Amino acid sequence: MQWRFAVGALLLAMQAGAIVRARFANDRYFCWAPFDQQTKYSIGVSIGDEALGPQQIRQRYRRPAEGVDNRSAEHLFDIITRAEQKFEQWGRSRVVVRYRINGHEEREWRYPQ
Amino acid sequence: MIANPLRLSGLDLPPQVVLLVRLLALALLLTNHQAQIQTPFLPFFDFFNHVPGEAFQTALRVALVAGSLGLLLTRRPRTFAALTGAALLLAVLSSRGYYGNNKTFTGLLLVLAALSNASGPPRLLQWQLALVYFGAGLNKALDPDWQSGQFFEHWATDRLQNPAYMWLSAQLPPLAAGKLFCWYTIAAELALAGMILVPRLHPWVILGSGVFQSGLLLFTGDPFNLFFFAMQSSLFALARWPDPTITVIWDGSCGFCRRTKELIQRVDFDPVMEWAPLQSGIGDRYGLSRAQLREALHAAGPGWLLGGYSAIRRMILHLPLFAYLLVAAVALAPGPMTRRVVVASALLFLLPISNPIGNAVYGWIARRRHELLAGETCELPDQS
Repeated sequence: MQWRFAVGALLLAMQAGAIVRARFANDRYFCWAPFDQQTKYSIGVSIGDEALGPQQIRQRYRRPAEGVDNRSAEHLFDIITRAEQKFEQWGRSRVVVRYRINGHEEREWRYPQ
Repeated sequence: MIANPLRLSGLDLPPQVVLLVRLLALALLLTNHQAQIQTPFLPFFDFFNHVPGEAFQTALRVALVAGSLGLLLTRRPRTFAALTGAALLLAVLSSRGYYGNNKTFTGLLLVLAALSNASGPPRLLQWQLALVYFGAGLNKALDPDWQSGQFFEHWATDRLQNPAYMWLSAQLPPLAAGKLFCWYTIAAELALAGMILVPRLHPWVILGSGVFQSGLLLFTGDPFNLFFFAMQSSLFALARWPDPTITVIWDGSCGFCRRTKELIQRVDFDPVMEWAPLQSGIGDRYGLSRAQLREALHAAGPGWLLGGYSAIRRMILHLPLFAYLLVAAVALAPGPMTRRVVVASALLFLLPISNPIGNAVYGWIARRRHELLAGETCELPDQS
């Protein structure tokens, strides 16, 4: 059936587009970059004077407060940024992520930047 | 009406595609994947922010389980592959927390299988696999840590603490082992992507990709959620289903051989094997003497003829039950070491490396076959 083939080909073309897009973007969504990066990280979040615990952080980002991510570190930053933008109406938070990519020196990423 | 999950032909998708989607369904059920599906969370499309979260999650979980059961137990693989694949892809698109390459790949395999023609090579699935390998190889080739070997050095040494790698790395200049493994991976992935586009190279892709992915599991002990199952199952999109069927030439005068034949026939539901006793004179068709046929069972398919252990291995490969058992054993393995043992045993069995032992065991049994089930021997009339 021609229409089935056309739908399938469209799905494949979209992925080819994502592979091209990844050359110009920091994130690696849908471009087949499994297991390309090892990011060891720990997330610290404070809202006002209160620091969130590991369980609260997990609920907030659906990611452990500390761990190793097998994908681009940008995905972690993207999740935190989008979650914070969503939760902004309930109070501004400050987030600090300390991370090491592939065993390199530790770096820091902050929200808001 | 419940269908036999071991029967692959006569359905609305090609047999090898039916096996592919059923293996994915089995992996989804045995790993209890439905429990990983989340309520929408930072979705890729804003639309998902407006759906009732828990109802959506429940619907996807029900669709995943019902779809997987439907794939295994009904005669409508196309419908249920579409349902299961759509549930997985919707789960991926609705949550950055759930997003993962393994889930996306599995969902796409199911949806593309549902979009495949009822006959002929499943090109969409083949191109999907090529695209995954191409994207993976390209991303790595352009990454400075993969170019320098730093990724592998850190991963194998600091994260996995793999003793074999650490020993090798200590014998070589800094990062040399890392560079070797990184570039081997990049070269393998890009080569496989290209080879998938050339149909006559598909047997080599099946061998290369199967060994490559098994090697990854042996190295890490980890199937990476659905990734191992999806990568290995996808190779069936490159396999040719035996057409016409495989002819198996057996010793009709041997009770043990008859029992073996009955056992295999009991799980060969399609059936892909046609059994002919050597006493029927069928050996002449393949240029095999009576002495050769008495020495070992032979199996012949389109363009190939094998005897003894190699024939048995090829026959087992064409039984869906073997693939189901492998998936179940890896999915249900209690830990990384058991998983490694399962995959290493399967590799040993499937690769020619096991031929010396396999042939020796086969020869030992074949020589004693008339004694193994004494009293069940019955000489068939010799037609030569």
